[in-house]
Amino acid sequence: MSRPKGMQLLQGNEACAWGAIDAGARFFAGYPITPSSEIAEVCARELPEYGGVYIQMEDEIASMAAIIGASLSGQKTFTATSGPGFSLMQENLGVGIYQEVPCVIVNVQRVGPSTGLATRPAQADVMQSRWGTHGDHSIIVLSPASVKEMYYLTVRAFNLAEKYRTPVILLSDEVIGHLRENIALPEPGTIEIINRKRPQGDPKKYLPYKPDEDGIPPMASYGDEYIVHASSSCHDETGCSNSKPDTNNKLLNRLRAKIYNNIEDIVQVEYFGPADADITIIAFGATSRVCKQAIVEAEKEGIKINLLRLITIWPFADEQVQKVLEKAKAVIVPEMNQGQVLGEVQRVNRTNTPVYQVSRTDGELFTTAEILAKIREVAI
Amino acid sequence: MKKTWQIVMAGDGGQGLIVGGRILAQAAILEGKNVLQTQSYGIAARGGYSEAQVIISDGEIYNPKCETPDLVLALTQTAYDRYCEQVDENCLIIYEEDAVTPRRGKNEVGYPFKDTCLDIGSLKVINSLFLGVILKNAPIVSKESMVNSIKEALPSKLHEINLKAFNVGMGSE
Amino acid sequence: MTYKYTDYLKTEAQPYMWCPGCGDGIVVRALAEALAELQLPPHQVVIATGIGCWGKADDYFATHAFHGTHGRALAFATGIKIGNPELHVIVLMGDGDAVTIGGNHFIHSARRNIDLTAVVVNNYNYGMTGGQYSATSPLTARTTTSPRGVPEPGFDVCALAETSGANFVARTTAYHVLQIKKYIMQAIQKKGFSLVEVMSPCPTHFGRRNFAGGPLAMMKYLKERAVPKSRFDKMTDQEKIDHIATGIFVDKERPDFLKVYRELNPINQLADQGGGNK
Repeated sequence: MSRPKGMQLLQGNEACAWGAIDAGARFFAGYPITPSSEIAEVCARELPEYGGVYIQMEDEIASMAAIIGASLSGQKTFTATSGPGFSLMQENLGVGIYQEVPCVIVNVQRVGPSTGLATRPAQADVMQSRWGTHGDHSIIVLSPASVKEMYYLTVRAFNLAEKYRTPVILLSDEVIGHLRENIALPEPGTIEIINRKRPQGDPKKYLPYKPDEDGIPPMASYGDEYIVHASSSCHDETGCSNSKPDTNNKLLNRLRAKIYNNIEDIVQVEYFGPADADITIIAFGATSRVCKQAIVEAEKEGIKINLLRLITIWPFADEQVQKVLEKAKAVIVPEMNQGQVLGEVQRVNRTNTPVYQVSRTDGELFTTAEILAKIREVAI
Repeated sequence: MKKTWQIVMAGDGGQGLIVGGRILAQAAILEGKNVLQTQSYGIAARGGYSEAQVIISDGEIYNPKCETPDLVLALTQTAYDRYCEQVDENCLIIYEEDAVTPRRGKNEVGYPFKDTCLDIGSLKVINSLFLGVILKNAPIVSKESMVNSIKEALPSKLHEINLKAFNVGMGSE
Repeated sequence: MTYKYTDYLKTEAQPYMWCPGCGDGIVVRALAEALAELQLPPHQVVIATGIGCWGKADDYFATHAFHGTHGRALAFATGIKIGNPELHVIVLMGDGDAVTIGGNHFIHSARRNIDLTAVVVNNYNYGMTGGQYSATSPLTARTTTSPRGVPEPGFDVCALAETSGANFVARTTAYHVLQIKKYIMQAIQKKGFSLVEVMSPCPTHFGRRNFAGGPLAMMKYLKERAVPKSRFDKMTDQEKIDHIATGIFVDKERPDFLKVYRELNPINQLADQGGGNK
């Protein structure tokens, strides 16, 4: 058995795979794509040791389909990809959302669009992770910024998926996926694991999409005596097609409420730096690390800056970002894209606080000097 | 003891730089330090440019890149050229005598890595050799930690020759 | 408990939405009869469908059911089966779903020999969306997107499955009701990838545009033009165009995907470590 013992140097992608296995994932279906393939390789090697199955499907469309199917049969499932594969997965991701199927999709972002630069990082799939699949829908997207978070946020992704009966996206990037840091994996049994609610009572009375009070239907599996009908068409509480007026309204509203009524549970942020700073950086993923470095160095120059790091990208941290905008004299939003989180920050900017964009789209991480330069420019 | 070390090891693919970076990183982990290691390649599947970066710190490591390296190991002219003007004068450059024509004039040390490996009997021990040379010039970790890390990384039948190479690099053999 | 064919059907959902003269309803009944004859508990059966007229069959079954996106039924079904290998997973696809948009998943499922039963009802066009041509429409046929004739020949669905490595491949027609049931039974019992192709009339679209006479004439055509493969193989090229080869084309025992996977990857007794749902 090769589960890393003690303090070890683990690659971000490796830590993600171990997080999934520790969270109970026993089925991975995927297609190799740089810079995510290491996740598949760890799963191919390790999943059978735990009674699980690794299958390499013919494409990402099939991979997304297979993880939905296996989840409906009761397994915890996931896949891993990057931009081009993520694009292929969109249609079936919508199936997962509409059918309320717990599963995790890891997107290790690389430069796009199209083939882009396979081995270089970007953060440009933020909006796609929110709206890539057609139609009204909600989604949970988490953003790791370290090897530790590649482990712990993967566990969290599975827990949120099970709790809210939804696909969850782990939106990483090539830097975090490929760097190695020291991490001691927790002892088995010491982390919180959440499993989907199961139905109780008379199987004959079971309606697969009838919600409990919390808006989430208990989930039976194929093979149970509780009969499951999962449909990609508009469906009612029986799971069967229903095109009567108001069916879709009710369904969409309930799906949205599942996420947006639970913002406090789902949204996580990190605050870094002096609380009384005038200028705040809002950043996520690999970029946030460079920002922390810049904040530490700015302090040496006597400039006080702090950082709001988005750990959950979607649903967006409206409340926390709004508070930052109210308090700060200026906000800086550096991203390895042409401005995607930027738009969301502006959306909640009720105080007309100046918001400064910093973009980098050349497949290179920001340098500390670049961030510092912007800080100095804004601080004047 | 320095709080943070930024080490860059660069050269060609096949020169053991990535494994060398991992061994150094693991040695620091044995001492309870925080470590961050990255690697990059050129586009060629074999040979071509190869680089490992290791950051070792008592505290949290923020930026994952070595922006102000304390030490650069350059085994090829390409590697040397990439870093020579970029680093400040406090950064020590250790270069392969056989392949590099240096130009900085200060705080750089040449070493005959390839020839020394041939003397020892195998080109494959070059990373243990350069780890010894690095450690001799910069007290990043203890000798014991490095030795333990080399042993952990390699199968036992390779320990003897690699530890010999390490000691040669340290100047103790 | 003895299961009757009605135990597998949601009789309250009938009458079917399909057109009079369509073969889909016949295949539903044949499938339900097959399940009853095999005495499979309904909760161990999953009907997985795609998009199209035949894809709407999921609403009529009282077993577990899945309705997915166009062309991807086999991929969903692969996950369903591996997730719980005790299940009998039967995948219902039209010709568009199975071998046009679904072509890639079709050949890979057969190659991989995943233990699924595919029942493909082939009516030579995309019926639900108004009768456009599909990858099985014959060359020069008239459809709504080929007013002057389809410029491409159609696939031989059974040949595709055979070449890709399926363990069981059979073809019949909507006329040959008992044969449909018999082949489906054999297909379900066969481990590995099994295909039953049922040629069917589409009286509203393809049939109307390419055949003289109504649904009865189309059914008669199927009856008269279906010949055993041995006879078909001896025909001239021109005769072949006007006939349909039927019968069991492949019946072999190549090990299925999960069997091979477990042989190569034996499970260590760590299956209970970490979290997990079961």
